[in-house]
Amino acid sequence: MAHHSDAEIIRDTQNTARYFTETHHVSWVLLLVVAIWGYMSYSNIPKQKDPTIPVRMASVVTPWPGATAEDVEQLVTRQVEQTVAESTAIHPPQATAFGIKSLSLPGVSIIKIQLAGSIDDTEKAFNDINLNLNGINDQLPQGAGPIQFNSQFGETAALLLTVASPKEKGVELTLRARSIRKAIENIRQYPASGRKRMSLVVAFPRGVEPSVAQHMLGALQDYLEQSQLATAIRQIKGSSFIGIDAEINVDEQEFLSQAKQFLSERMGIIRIHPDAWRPVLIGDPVDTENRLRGVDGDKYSYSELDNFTDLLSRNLNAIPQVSKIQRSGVLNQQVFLAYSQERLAAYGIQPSNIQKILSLRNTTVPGGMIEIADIGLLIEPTGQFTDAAQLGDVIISRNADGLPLYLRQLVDIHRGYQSPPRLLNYYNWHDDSGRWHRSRAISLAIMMRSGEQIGQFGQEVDQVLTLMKSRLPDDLLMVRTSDQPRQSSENIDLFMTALYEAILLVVVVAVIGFREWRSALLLMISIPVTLALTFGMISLLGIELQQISIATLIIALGLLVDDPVVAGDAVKRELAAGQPRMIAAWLGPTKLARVILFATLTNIVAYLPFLMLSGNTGDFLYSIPVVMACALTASRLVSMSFVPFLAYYLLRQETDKNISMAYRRTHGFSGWYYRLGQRAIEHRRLIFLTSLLVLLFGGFLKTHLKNSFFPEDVQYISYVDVWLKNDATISATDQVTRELEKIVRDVTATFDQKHRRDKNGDTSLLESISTFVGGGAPRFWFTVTPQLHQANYAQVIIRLNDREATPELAPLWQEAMSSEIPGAWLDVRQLQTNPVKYPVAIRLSGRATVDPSQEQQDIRTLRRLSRKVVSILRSVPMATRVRDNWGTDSFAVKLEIDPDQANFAGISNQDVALSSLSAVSGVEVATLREANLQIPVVTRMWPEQIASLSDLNNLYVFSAEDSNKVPLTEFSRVAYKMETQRIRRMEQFRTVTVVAFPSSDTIASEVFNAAQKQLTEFEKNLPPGYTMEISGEQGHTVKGFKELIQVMGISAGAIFLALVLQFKNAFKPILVFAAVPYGMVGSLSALYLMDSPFSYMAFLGIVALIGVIVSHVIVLFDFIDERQEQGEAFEQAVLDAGIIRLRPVMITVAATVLALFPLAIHGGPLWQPLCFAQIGGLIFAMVITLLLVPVFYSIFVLDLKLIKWATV
Amino acid sequence: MTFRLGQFLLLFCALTALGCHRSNSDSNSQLTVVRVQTVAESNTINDISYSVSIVPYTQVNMSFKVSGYIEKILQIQGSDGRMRDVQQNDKVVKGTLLAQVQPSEYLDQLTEAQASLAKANAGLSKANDDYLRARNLYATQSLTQREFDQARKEYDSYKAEVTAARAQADDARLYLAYTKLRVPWDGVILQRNVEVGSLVAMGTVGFVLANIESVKATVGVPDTALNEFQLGDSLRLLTKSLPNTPITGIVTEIGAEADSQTRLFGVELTISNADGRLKPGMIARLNLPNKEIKKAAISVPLSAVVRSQTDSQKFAVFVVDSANGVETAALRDIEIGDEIYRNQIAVLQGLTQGERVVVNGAQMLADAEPVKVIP
Repeated sequence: MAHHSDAEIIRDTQNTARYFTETHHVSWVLLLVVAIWGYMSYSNIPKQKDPTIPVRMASVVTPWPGATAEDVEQLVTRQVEQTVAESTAIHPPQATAFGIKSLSLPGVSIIKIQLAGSIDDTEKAFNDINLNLNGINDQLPQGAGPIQFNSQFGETAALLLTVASPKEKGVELTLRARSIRKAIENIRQYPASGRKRMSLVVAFPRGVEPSVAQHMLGALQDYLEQSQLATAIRQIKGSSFIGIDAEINVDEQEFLSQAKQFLSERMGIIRIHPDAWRPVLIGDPVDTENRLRGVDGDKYSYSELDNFTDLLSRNLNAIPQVSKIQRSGVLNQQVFLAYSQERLAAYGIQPSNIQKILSLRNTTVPGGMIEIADIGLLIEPTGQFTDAAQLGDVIISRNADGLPLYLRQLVDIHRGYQSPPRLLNYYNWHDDSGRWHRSRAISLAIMMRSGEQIGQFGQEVDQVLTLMKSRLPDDLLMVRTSDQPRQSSENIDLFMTALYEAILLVVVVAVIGFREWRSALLLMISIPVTLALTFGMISLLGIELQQISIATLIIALGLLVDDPVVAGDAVKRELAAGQPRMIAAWLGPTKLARVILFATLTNIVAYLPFLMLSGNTGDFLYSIPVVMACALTASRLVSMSFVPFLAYYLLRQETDKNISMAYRRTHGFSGWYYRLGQRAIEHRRLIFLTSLLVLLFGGFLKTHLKNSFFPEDVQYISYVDVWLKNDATISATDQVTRELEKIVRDVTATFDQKHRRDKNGDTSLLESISTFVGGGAPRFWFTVTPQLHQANYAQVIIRLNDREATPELAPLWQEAMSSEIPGAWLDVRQLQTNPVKYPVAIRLSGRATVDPSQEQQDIRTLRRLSRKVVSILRSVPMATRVRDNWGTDSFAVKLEIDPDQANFAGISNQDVALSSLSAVSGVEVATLREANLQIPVVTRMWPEQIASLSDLNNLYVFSAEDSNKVPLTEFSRVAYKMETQRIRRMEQFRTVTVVAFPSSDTIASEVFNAAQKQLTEFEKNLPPGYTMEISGEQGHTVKGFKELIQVMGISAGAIFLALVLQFKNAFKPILVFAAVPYGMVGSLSALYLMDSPFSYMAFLGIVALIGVIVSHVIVLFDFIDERQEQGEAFEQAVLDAGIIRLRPVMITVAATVLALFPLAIHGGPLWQPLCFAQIGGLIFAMVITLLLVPVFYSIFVLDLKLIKWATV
Repeated sequence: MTFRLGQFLLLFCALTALGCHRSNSDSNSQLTVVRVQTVAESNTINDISYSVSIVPYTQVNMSFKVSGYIEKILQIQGSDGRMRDVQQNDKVVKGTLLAQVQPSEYLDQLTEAQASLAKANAGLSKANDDYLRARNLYATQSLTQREFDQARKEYDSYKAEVTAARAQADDARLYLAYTKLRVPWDGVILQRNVEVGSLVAMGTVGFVLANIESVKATVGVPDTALNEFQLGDSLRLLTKSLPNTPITGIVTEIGAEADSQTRLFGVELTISNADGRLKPGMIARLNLPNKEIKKAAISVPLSAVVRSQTDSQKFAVFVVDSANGVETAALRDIEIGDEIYRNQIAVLQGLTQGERVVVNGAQMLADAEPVKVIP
């Protein structure tokens, strides 16, 4: 490289450095402008916790009530899938992602669609798919549909607000107890046999008319009498309670459990009514209040909560930043007409008659308008039912005497809620005394419009909530189950703290390193200026302030220091060389401009390939290369503009410290270095061989590191997925969640006692538990894909006060749950930064079935294969909770109709279906309009007549053609079989995924390593047409690492090319790169020592290391070249360059390494591996650059003679 | 905070100490927890229920034989103490006069008939006298054979006339009696169709009388279940109207032929109803114990049943065995019966009493897996 003489440069050069140094006013103003711009940008950039990863997902739900899973799959799911697949925007199939996946359940088909990452206009793509889907609505089988398409499935709620009912307490409870007590005492005035009496009382929230439970209580009473559990029963009733008073022949516990068993087995419910409190048994009326308190009843009913949340959500919707509000946990009201088939039959009325009669009465035809004089009068025929009592007054038929038969005489009319409920929401909270309560709740998922400031959103919501507090009952619980505004501000604060600490550390390093305030001050000013410029640039590029971009700034800090340090050093050298300040201030940086530009470019090039990362990971890490490029560009700009300008003011010639090269070679640290270098060059072959051993050692380390993808995020929130067997009812699922909540409370309390007693122990560690039964919570975290409604699923969200405790508690919860709750898969999950559903997941797909008649065979083969994989994984000791995601077969009932017999009886198959549907599930016969609600009116059989399977035998079938009624047993028999109730497909093929979790202290890759051999063997022996894919974390890791290796290859190639251009020599770049592998060994050793897995982020740190190492070596080579031009001998030149670079390199490395410490401390498990890798790598690389590179250089020059050394 | 600063500072000096400190955490994978139930023989009785309607044992339509206006209806003391017409649900005893058709017409007829009888009697006595006289004369040969025959004929004819007139009078008396409708046997009035003043014709049903000392219940039974019934069986019925009273009926008739429409056979139960609690038209429910599995049977809850792994058409359960303190769940094929009682299914083969089957958690198990049994 030809270096121009100083005089030439001073004469010819016109550059920014010179301009800034010479025109002070412009520089001052510009400095101010940059500072203001940076500040403005910083305060206006949207701030959030994580980068926005667009979730390009939609869901398609098609109901087909009553159909089996297999029919749903074949006749609905397949059609919908094919239609969806016509879209070109669908994500291509991948082991770690999906384009189309489906779940066919009895009665419903659920399909999830994901668009390719390259699609920007997701709305259009989804609209197209929706249009196509609308087109096939009429091709669906009868009774199926309509297709419900939800393109907003991917939206994450910025705030999950849970509105829960408080418990009744205080005066209200006392008053209630008093009225119950009075009622009991009243009824006991009439003595019976004189034996001891007990009262079973069911209380209701104030707004509920207790007669809703009259019928159920009557049924219970019948049962108690029949089974001789109680005798001499009398009913008691009062405002907001209902009950029975009787002589009870068994002890209390037995009685309550018998009553409970009756409700669940004979009536198919857990409570007498959804709104009802748990029943209390009162012996002595004096006890009433205590007993009631023990029940812990909710103060508000479901319909009241519905009204409250409706008002709340409409008010919240008025906030400009709010895009949408979704409520979950609302129970839809229904009016039930419960009939007894015997009674209907006796009157000669069929259930279907009721519908006909009601529809005539419930007319909505307008009555027209009459014009009288100048007024138009609207005639409104009263017709629409507006009150449940009106239903009862409908005349069903007349007897011969013309006496009317009213509906209320025929059926039992009561109000209730959709039964079984689709989704139940509960909230566990503790009062001031630390007692836990479980309240019914409704959750509101509040979505934010994109591009809005989350902080502002949070404030607006706060305001509305404060306002609403005064309009809603003041004891209503309104809590934030998930609070993104708070999380964001906390996380941003944390990362910004890390950034400030890093800056501080860098300055301290600079002061110590330079041992002189002027250079340190220069650095202190130039870093904020660079950051200001960087903030300005990234806000222009639309990058948000989130953990990735801030962490990138922290990582970049070391590199940002490099520029001003080198520039300042250069200025000082020029000053030392006797140049005037005005000249020296720009001459120094200018002389180094080219080489530093190359070094900067190398760093940018090293990071830019990260843009190629695909999928969610790519979206997640997108800001790393962009912010890095901005920061480095800014640093380059600053060091060529403001640094010379500031150097002019700050730097002075240091007469006493300008020590000659010869002095430095012999004295102090540099002297020690020089001697060490000399000796190293002397024994260069030995050192080279030893260094190879180091590389081998690195390889050895790599095999001993665990691979992992992304670690779990440390958050306040964690959640539990609860899966029961496929045919479980929502009440069974609810029961499991109750047990689970108790375990969480107990385990956390024990943990809290043990570990935190010393700290101020007044706040409980566990803040709340929100439970969603029958479906998942709305998407409260972008990686947690909500489960659509399934009765056997529940999600329990646990919120702690101290997020550091989450990772410690999660395994404890898991262990307690797994060892105490039978019959359910319980997975405690921590939140993740990168969407990976299961740590271990192996997909098995069947793609061989040609003939539709072999479908059964296909399912069986898949089941057999999945069993094999399950048993392989179960044999691995590290794997727990191994299962496939189809679940086991369920016991199914089939009504086999004998066509001949049915024909004789004049019954069609449809009659059978309709009769059983109307008896089992109920049929909607009318709508009741009450204020703003449209309440369905449903006829169904008395629950006690159809609660157990054997009741099916007693069902009457009504013929549609004549008024025949025939018992079902006459022409059909009930047959039993095992049936698959959950069929999953991926990319249109049946796919079973076997999933497992690593036991605590192990990670997914260990499980895989242990099972690897057997799995490979298994894959080899798969029947033709069946495939196995590794998905889950392992799949993601393999794919992610493959991409990173590509990225590494590309960036290394690009750097190499740049170096060849710079050095105009093909061998020097190889020398430059020779340092890289040693740096990697340093990284690996650091990871190994810290017992940190070789995670994606660690790998990323290592890839990014290349740039830093290379840039250091480039600058060193430039100095060697300069020395060469000055005519120094080879060894002298190499080591002199080393001496000159000694201080800047050490300062830069020390600054970078120290800057990473705050990130390692605050950044949690996500950033630690990266920090360790970089710290280890940088320290190692520093030694390599200063010692090993000269050795390699000398091998190239002296031994291999690949580089010619000709002194000028 | 898991960041170990001290450890980190040891980074380079500790490079030599590699490969020694890693703890290979031997994870004793947790046992699957299950709930079990001990298999016991139970007397599962599977109810089949039929709806029946109560009808009277005998029932009669009381019609009028004569036409005319109703003059009088039986008066009964009502619940308010006042007398009122007899009405449905009233008990009546044999012989009571229920209603009276206006008798004047029939009285007239009787008088008329009686008059004709008197007239005929008068004629007869005159003819008798004539005949006696003629016989004496004839005996003395003072009358010709012809004249004597004449007298005898006349006498005979009057005799006949008297018989006829007497018959007519009897008739008229009977019709008069028919104007009074009397109760044929003790029973309950089910229906009253007439009022005082209403015109009835011959054959008009005035009252429906029923005997509800005992009542009947008719069950429509499909042919498949017909053999569940034996004449003389005594069966228990339930009715919502009388929730706390057990009602027993005895099978008294089994239909010989099915209803052509519904293909159901009628089975008749007779229920004694001395106290009259059961009213015709009440709806009752007959819960019939299913005889087929009346015998003691082993049954398991439905939640215990899984698919057999040897034959996908068959069923299995997990049976927990304890050996050396280790509980192990083994898959066992079973054969299930057709009958389900509540939510239990009968097991015909494969299980014996006292064995423990997994009722909660079966879907999570593999064959021969050690388990933890919790109460």
